[in-house]
Amino acid sequence: MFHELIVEALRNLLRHKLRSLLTALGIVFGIASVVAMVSTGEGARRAILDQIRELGTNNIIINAKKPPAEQNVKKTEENSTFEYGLTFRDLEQIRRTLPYILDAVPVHDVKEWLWFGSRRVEAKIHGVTPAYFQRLNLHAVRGRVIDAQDEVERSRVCVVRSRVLHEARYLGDPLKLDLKLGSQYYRVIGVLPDFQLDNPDRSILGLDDRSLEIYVPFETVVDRLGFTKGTYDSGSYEESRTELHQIVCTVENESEVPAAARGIQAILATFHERKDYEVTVPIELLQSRERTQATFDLVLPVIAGISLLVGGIGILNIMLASVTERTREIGIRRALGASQGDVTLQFLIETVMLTLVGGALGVLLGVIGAMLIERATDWKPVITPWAVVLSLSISCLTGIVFGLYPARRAAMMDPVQALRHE
Amino acid sequence: MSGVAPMPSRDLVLELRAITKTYGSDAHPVPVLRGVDLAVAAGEFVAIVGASGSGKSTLLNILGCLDRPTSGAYLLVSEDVSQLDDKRLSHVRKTRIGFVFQSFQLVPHLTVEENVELPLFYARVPRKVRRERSHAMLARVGLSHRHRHMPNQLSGGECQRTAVARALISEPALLLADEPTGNLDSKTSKEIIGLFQELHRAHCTIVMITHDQGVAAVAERRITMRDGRVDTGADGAPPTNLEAACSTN
Repeated sequence: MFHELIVEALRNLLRHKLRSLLTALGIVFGIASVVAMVSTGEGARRAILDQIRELGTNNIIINAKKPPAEQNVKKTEENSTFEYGLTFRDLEQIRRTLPYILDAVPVHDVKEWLWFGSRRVEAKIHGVTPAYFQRLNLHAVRGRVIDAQDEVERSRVCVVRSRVLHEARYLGDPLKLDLKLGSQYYRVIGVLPDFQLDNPDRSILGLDDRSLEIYVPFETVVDRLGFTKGTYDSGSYEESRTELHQIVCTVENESEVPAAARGIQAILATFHERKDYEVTVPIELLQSRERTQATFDLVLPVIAGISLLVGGIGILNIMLASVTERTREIGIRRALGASQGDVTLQFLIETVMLTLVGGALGVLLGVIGAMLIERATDWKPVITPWAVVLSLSISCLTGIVFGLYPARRAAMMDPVQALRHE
Repeated sequence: MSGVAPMPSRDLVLELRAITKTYGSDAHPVPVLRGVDLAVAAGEFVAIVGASGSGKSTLLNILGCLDRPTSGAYLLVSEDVSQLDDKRLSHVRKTRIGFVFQSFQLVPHLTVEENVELPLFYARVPRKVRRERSHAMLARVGLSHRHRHMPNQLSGGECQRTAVARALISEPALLLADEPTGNLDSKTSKEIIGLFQELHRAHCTIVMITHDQGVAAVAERRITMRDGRVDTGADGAPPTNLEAACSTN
């Protein structure tokens, strides 16, 4: 009985294809825009969350920051080297004073030319200890990461992001490759996967994914390249010295992160007269991101509600017209024994089918829309099953809400009058 | 034959007692039926004739449970249906009454078999059973070759045969026909009247409204309506025993 009513309703809708389509259009677009927004938003959200998690929710990351130029004049006459950034002393202080800190890992960065034959590109060399890979949860897809032996031997080995191999246009076994960094060769011992996403979000988080990242044992970098860096800036030579560019601090529990972060801020404030560092707390980024998401989650239903209201009124209008148009049919059905309930159900199911099919089309269109957005922005849309189920239930509900009145009107008709209707 | 009294041994299919129907507001009442008494026995073929405005359509609507009388009692198969609510009335329509209309009243977007099956659909009869019975019924009215046709592909006679098949499919106690030949040419009219006579021989109880005297002549009994009342003396026939019995009630 019920499925026959559904079949009948669909047949009725198909009899007026264009009219049905136009009627459902409001719902189609309403649902489509919501699905597109939700899935794109969800995609962007997951991408950012993944990146934040990549930094580790138990981690606090301190980055050296070059202070503004006007503060650079503070260099001494005899020594024109401009010092800034994090130091070994900072590292020691953090390790010793703060009880929450499980470990603090130093990083020293150097920018160096990476040579491919006669072609060169600028690569970012991270001098890191074996613990770095562990703390940031980095695993080699090929080969291995840097170990203690490499540190002791100060070996000329490196771990690269797979993007580097791509840039080198190297198709052979990566573990047999020697990369020329500056004037020296480094043997590739491991390959790390690329960052999951290559998109503008990374720069929002202060992560530069555009450069080619190469990891070399900390001691090797310090030994071979030193702490001092010379640059030509606006025609004048400038030398700067930075001991550490990054310190990755790890605490045992996420709950200790805020306290540890405050401790770190306090220590650094004591030893640095200028603000030449920056503390990044991934979990705080995560929280602020979630607050943004909450706003988005609030706005979305409002937009969806308005579009469904508009769509629903369109449906109400057409169903009222349809009921009038089919007055005679209603009279016939009533004469043959249909109760008011039967007539109500028939029209209600018809409206619900209309909105449900509209909703399904909307979901489809929304997914296509999200894919188009993906092409334009690199955000990978995530179609969550709950979004689809919710969209369809809302379509259904819209049908019931806006179909009830026309259906009741059909049911309340006087059968005698209805049969006489022309 | 007109004027033949139903045998007292026959069961009554319907009985009307002092039925009135008034339209309009309380301030300006428009009485259409002014006290109709009528009894129809099982297997009878009754023709109701009368000028337009005499109240015969209103009477038929009440007989068909499409409308409720303002006052009076209507016993259909000895159940008083005069004051039932919509749900009960719908139930009575689909189980006890078959309608044949002047303008056929087929649902235009349903096929012939689907139209015929409609009363069974509302009686929640399973699809397979419905199909079997509709095919049997269409065979009975001579439309076996038209199952899948749409009403607009049929001739007027075929439409009315479909309507008759539909009216009979739920094996109703009463077949009501409202000018069933009104929209047909004389040849097709004869065919349809032939069909009704055939049904009468098969013991269907038929009440038919017509203003075609020729059509009315084939009925077993003729009742004339005049000004909202049954005009018993109009065609010279004495009131039947039953009518007499009812009116003295």
